[in-house]
Formats: sequence, structure tokens, C-alpha cells
Amino acid sequence: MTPSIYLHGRGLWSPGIPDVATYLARGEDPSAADPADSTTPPAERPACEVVHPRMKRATSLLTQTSIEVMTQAARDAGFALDQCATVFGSEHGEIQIAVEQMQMMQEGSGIVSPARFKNSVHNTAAGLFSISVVNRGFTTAIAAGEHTFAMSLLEAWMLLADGDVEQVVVSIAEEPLPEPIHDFAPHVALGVAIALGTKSEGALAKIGAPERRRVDGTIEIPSRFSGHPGEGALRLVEAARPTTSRVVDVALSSAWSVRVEPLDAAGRS
Amino acid sequence: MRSPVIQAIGAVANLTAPRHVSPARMVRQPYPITAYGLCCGLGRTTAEVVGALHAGTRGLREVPFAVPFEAITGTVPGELPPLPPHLARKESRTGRLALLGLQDVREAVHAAKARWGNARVATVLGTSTGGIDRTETIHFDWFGRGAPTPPALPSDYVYLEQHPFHAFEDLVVADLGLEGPAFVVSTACSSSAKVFSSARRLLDLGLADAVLVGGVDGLCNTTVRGFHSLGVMASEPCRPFGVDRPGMNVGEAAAYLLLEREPRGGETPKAWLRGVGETSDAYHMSSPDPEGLGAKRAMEAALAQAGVGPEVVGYVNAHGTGTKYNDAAESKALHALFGPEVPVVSTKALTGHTLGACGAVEAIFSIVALEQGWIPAGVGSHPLDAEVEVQVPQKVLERPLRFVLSNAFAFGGNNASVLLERGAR
Repeated sequence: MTPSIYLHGRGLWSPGIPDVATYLARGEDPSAADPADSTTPPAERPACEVVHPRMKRATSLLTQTSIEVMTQAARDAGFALDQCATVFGSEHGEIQIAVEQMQMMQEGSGIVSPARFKNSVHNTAAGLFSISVVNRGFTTAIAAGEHTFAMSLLEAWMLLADGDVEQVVVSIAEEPLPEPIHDFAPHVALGVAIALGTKSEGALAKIGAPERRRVDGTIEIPSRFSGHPGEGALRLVEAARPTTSRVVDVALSSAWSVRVEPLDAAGRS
Repeated sequence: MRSPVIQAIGAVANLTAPRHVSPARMVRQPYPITAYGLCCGLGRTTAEVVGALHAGTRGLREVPFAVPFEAITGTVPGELPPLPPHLARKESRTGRLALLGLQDVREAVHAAKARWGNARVATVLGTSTGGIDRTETIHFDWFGRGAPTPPALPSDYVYLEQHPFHAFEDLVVADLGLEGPAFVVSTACSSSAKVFSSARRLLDLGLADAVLVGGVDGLCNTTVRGFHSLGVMASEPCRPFGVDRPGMNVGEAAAYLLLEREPRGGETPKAWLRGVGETSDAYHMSSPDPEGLGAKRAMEAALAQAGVGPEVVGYVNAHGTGTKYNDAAESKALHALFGPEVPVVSTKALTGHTLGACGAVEAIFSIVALEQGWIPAGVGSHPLDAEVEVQVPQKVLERPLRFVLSNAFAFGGNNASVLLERGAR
């Protein structure tokens, strides 16, 4: 029998939105709906305090955002940073560094920077997080196009349901795409993380496996995040304290959804 | 049966388990691998590759594009066939490679679709760079002309369908008509070793009945120039575990394996997936823990998932990149776990380091060893580095094998070790 899986914590960062509390408190604040600049990496950076400043210097906004939201969600859940498994999702990965390296290849000696190259892999955030918090356990990095968050969530859910681990934090993060590819996917910087575990104590909700299934209504998100690969993760952040059981869309184009149930319905005493 | 086999295990596994793993659930249900196929520097078909592996022929050639230094790469011989017209929008070198490598598993995948249903066949593939070569080409043209105003991008450049990690997987899924869950694992050089545990979870939990796993990485400027910048690239053929080894050669490959819930009626599978150990060094972004502790824990975890000890392993396909520090750390880990006797070979001496594809390529080489009863020669490894305390055969060893372990370690200290058992038990 598949064990029950519970949602324990959330993390979020985007320019002007440093955490989940700020995001949820946005109310009718019109600035929350303003389109953030998606053409260049914002000057504002997440605190990302678990990473040593010397190591942080050569890392991208994507890496810093991923680690920031991973840390926020783990702490929100009360998970030890050195013990929880981690699943880092991103559709585009370290795209700023990738294109910067292409520019380096056409200048001077044509050799790329070693500091940039070692931070250019899709699992840069996964590696840097594990080093920074001395976590020697499972970590992975996932991509699946517009289903990236849904498939990252599926991998995290499976790790728990199959008994590999007892706690896992799953994130999705993107940074603005640089020229000349920016217009193919004009996303703002955004990271969202969800902490999941096998124990119900202290949980916010019970969560099912991602499935192909119709959703129950729409959860509105600010227009600046519409069409963003993290859109489904934002809906899950909103739905994390349900009053009734509902099915939440966790991918673009309604391809994947999860059932989120209040704890009483999950049978907690 | 859809639930995993849950068994109590011995004290060895409990002692070696990472703290975050539930020890009571560590012994796992074996799953049959019913088909495999690949292309790499050793050949364009599986038969060519296996023939060159047995002969110890190196597949190292000229880099297929201009770079400002001397280098050789594990380049697939000949031109890569163009994509079929209906999939031509997904153009990249990695995409072309992905379809070439499918040729020897396509029939088996179609049989699995017929057996289980299209929606019950999942796809989990590994890569380190996806179709980045396509954007390199465009960017060089766009930026490199020195024109005051960059030219417009060509109309056949479609970033979302060509470059991102999932683009080549979408191509594979579209070509095969698969409808199950599909995602890419991209943890650099351990990517297509980690896909095996994702597949096991999908099967254990009844979310799929068959899973096409694999790894694809085409040669590109980013990796060839990147590894050169780190000072670990050799301009001559690499010599894993050898004295004064000069470094690594980057390679390319597309490799696929099909896992199913049960063997096809009356057929002996190619091999059984018995365990996948996954750990983090938590040490350095691009250098391994010098004591190889993370690597050792990954190998121990793979063995624990099968409920067996190191004494059953007859051969280890090492990660063995040919760089000074990687080989030294892996050698320490291997010696600490297996002692000095188990044969250890790095086939990267023949293929080059195929990066995100190496886990799948070398899982196939491990299965060939199990099926055909021979261990490939450690080409170029002798004389061995004095610090290397493992046995690296100088010639092909003919011997029956029951268990083979295949290692894949990556940037970020990301370790994966895959344990495979002979199909005929």
C-alpha cells in the first residue's frame, strides 16, 4: 500500500517578493500585478544565506534563487537542511551562464572561464546546496519543458511513496533568458519550493501523486507569472491550506494535477 | 505485483545506509531490462560498438568543429543522419544523435507499447547539455559577424524545440509515440545512471509498466572548451588509472535501455536492474572527495538494494575519466569496498567521456559483459599509477559473471552506482 504523503512547507522568491508570506499577503496590491522586468537579471538578489559569500560570487541568479527557496521551504517544514532529499527543477537551467560562455568563445583566446563552466551544469544548485549545508544524501535535477514542475513534483512524491526517503524538498526556478533567445520565453525570475514528508505531524495538507486529471476550478495567480514554468508551483503554494479536497493544476496547459486534501479528511486525529 | 518487495536486511546494509534512507525498505524488487541499443565513438550501431569494445579499438577522432587548441573526441563516425521532415523543427546535433541511437531499440519499444499501452510506457533520459549546440551555432552567427546590428535569427531556429534539456526527449517521445510520464534528469555526468532509480520508482508505484531510460549528449563547444578551461582535457588518447595520465577526452553518445514490469513471455531478459545507489560528496563543485567516501557510499547503497555484499561483484565498470584526481578518488573507494582483486575497467579509454550519456552507455557495456561472459581490456591503463590499488586487466578476460557494478560520478559531487545482474539466473 502506498503511504500517505504530506505537504509541510513552502518557499518563494521573485524580485520584490522575498518569501511566501509576502506573496500571500499581496491582496489587491496593484504592484503585485506589475510586469517585472524579464529582459535582464534584476539587481535584487535573494539572501541565499546558507552559501558562503565566496562561493556565491560566481553563481547565477538561478542558482541563488533555487537555493533560497529550497532553504525557505525546508525551514518552514522544520526539516534539517543536511538530512532532507532535494529535487531541483528548471526548464531552462543555467541559461545566462550558457550564453555568456558562448560570448567568451568568440572573444580573445576563445576559452571559457573555468569558474563559469563548473557552475554551468543543470545541477549547480543541487551541488552547491549539498556542499553548503553538508547534505550527503539524495539530490537530483529535473527538466521537462512546460511539465518541469509537475515532473519534479512526481519525482519527489515517488521518493517518499517508494520509501527512499522520509523528507524531500522540491523546487522550480527560472531566471530571465538572455539575448538573443529572450523572446522565446520572456520569463521573470521566480523560484518556488514545496517541502513534503511521510509524517502527518505539523503538516499543512495531504497531497496525492501528480496525475493527468481535470482540475477543480482555477487558482488565480498574478499576471506577471502567467505562462511561467513555475505557475503550477504557485498554485500549490496558494492551495497548501485547503478547507476541502481539491484538484490543483501543477503544470501549464492543465496537463498534470494533484489532489490536495485537508488533514482532517486525510484521517488525522 | 506492483508494490516493491520489502524485506528485512542484514546488518551490513544498516551500517552503510545514509541516514536519510529508510533501512527497512532498502531491498528492492528486480526489474528486467529487455532491450538496449546505442551509438557512440565506437560505432553507429550496437553491433559495431560491441565489436569495437571487445577488440579494444578506440573511437577517438577529430573534434567535429573548430576549437582553438589541440583535442580529440569520441566522435560518432560519419555524418549524423538528418531528422525526418516531420520532426525537422527539433534540429540539433544531440537530436540527430538521439534518433540514430534509437535504431536498435525501436522495435522493442513498439512491442512494449503493444504489450502495455502507449500511456503505460514512460521515458526518463539523461543529458548534461541537451541541444545547446544548436544555440551555439546560432549565437556564433548572430554575435560573431561583428555587424553593428545583430542579424535576425533564422526562421528555422526554434529555441524551445531545439535547445532546452527536454527538446531531444520530446523528439524521442514523438518519434516513438510514447504517452507515459516523461522527464529529463540532468545531473551532469551521473544523469543517465540516475534515470534507473527514477524508472524503478515508476514501476514500483504502478505509474508505468515499461520505462525507456537512457542518456544522450552530442559534442558541443561548451563542454569541449569548458573541460579544456579546467585543465583536465588531454590532446592524446586518455589513459584511465595509468601513471602520468594526461586527462580526459570528451565523447558523445546516445544509449537506451528498456525496463519492463516482467520479462516477455518465455524470454530471458538481457539483465536485471538490482540496485541504484545515489549520494552527494558535499565536498567541491568540480573535484571529488579525495577519499572517495561519497562514491563508496553510493556503491554500498546499490549493493544494499539487492541485499548482497561486495563479494558477489565480478567486475566494476569504473567512472574512470582519466583525470588525476577523479581516478585516484575512485580507486580509493573501490579498494576500500572490494579490496584489490575485483577487475576494474574504464571504457572511457575507448569512447571518451560521454558525459550525461555515460551512465547508460556503460550500463549497456556492463550488460554485454554479463550476457557474453567477458570483461573488456583496460586499454591504455598500463603501466598503472602506483596509487591505484585495483586490478585493471590488460586484455579481455573471459569469465562468467553474475553481478556487475557501473559507476557514474559528476560535478557537484553527485554520485550514482548501478548494480546489474545477469539475465539468466
